[in-house]
Amino acid sequence: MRAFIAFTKKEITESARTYKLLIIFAVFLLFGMLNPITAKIMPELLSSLLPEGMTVTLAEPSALDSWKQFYKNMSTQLIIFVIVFSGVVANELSKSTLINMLTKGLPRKTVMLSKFTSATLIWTLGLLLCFATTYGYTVYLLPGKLPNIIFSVFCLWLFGVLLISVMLLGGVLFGNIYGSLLVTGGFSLLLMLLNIAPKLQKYNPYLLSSGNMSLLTSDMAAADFSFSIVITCISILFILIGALMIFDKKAI
Amino acid sequence: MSILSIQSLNKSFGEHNVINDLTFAVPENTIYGFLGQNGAGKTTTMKMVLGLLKPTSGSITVCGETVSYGETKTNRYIGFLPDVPEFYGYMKPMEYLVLCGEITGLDRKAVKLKSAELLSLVGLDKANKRIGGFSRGMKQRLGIAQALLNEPKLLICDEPTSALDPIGRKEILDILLSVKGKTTIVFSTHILSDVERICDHVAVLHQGKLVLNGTLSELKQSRQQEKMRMEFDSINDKERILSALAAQNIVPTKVETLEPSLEDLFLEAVK
Repeated sequence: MRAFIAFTKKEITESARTYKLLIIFAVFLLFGMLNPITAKIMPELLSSLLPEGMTVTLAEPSALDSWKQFYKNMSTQLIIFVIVFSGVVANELSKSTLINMLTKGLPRKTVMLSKFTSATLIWTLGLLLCFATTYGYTVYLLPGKLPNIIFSVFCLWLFGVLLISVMLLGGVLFGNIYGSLLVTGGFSLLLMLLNIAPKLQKYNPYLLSSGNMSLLTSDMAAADFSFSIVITCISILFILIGALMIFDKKAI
Repeated sequence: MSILSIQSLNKSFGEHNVINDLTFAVPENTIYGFLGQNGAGKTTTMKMVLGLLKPTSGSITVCGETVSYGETKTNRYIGFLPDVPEFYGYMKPMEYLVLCGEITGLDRKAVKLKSAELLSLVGLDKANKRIGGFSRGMKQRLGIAQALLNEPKLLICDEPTSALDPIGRKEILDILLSVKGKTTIVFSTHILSDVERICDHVAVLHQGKLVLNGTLSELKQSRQQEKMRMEFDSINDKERILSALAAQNIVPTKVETLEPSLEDLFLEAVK
């Protein structure tokens, strides 16, 4: 346990000193502020761009528009997060910085679990930051009550955790950043392709990142996500166990 | 008692056999010179001892415990210095050693004391900057410090001097000599003069097999030769010896005038 805490601390120090934390927090904060502001000024912006004499009636912006921006931009933020953290396993393997740690008796499982924990922690904090900023500005600029706000962001959080575990698996499998990115990208693509089959949609983890707006508009209820959530949790568990087992057998 | 013993070890990468039925034991409190050309299999053997590589067959025991691949249990007896040690460049040496100490399970206070002691042993106590800016020699010294942190029974050094300048080499060898007695050292290298300087036991690995194994003095005695080297204070003496030899009808097969070696000159010039 002490080794786990020490190594997790090291992971976080590393993120801070190699500017990963700064990039993530800056990007997430920026998007957090932009979401409600874009939603607010979008209609004015559009009407100012229209040729004179032409009138288009645009609906008054609402809180819903702000959250629409939030979930739309989140996919970009997830991609940035994965790119920034894709090297956490790969770099240590390619630079052999792990040799000193492992020959000190640090269990390989601890290495992976520490990396998973620290990446998840940073993802959680980043998402919270972005969520809180968007929430605050939205309440101020575009007041309005919406259902399932917390649950909807929880779904997205869980999807992010799934991607983190896939990213770690990719790093373990290939030992380089490209492998890690390729596996994460391929996995997301696979989920999107599976989503074409309507029968599979409610089981697909992809729902957690695509159905968020339906929760806010009450088109879907929280219960509709239960299969997807269960499947995602099981996937995270299996992917992590797989990554641990492969890492245990990897020549370093 | 042997600290490390290796029994009929084999390792092949695909078709290529790197280690062929290797068997040897390292006695306690020795400096064991592990010699071989580049590619002889020294690093491969060491990585198998550390459980970082999977042997094709054979067994390895450290302090009586069998090493199993992928696990790190036996590594608590071992300190390892890789040939090119890699550190987290964003850390300072003290932070790095504290991390290493916490991983081995030493308590925080003991780690700090021990780290400070080791940093002064390897001469890095004043280098309070990030490791990213260290020279190769400094990294090598920090490597020794981290390897000695858990007071290992067995210290494995993979070519610790190969990449260093003559002074750096001498310093590293001195540090290794100074910890002799507290720990057994396995020292791989292809620099023979380093071995003569500090090792008491020598094994030579060639094409994955041991071709020579024994204490340095034993090995030297077993190959007593008809060669000798003389040094004189004046050229005159040299001439007289040669004429004396001629008078006795002794003809040496080879007479050579020695020049100062580059190493002597270098060491003198940069002193």
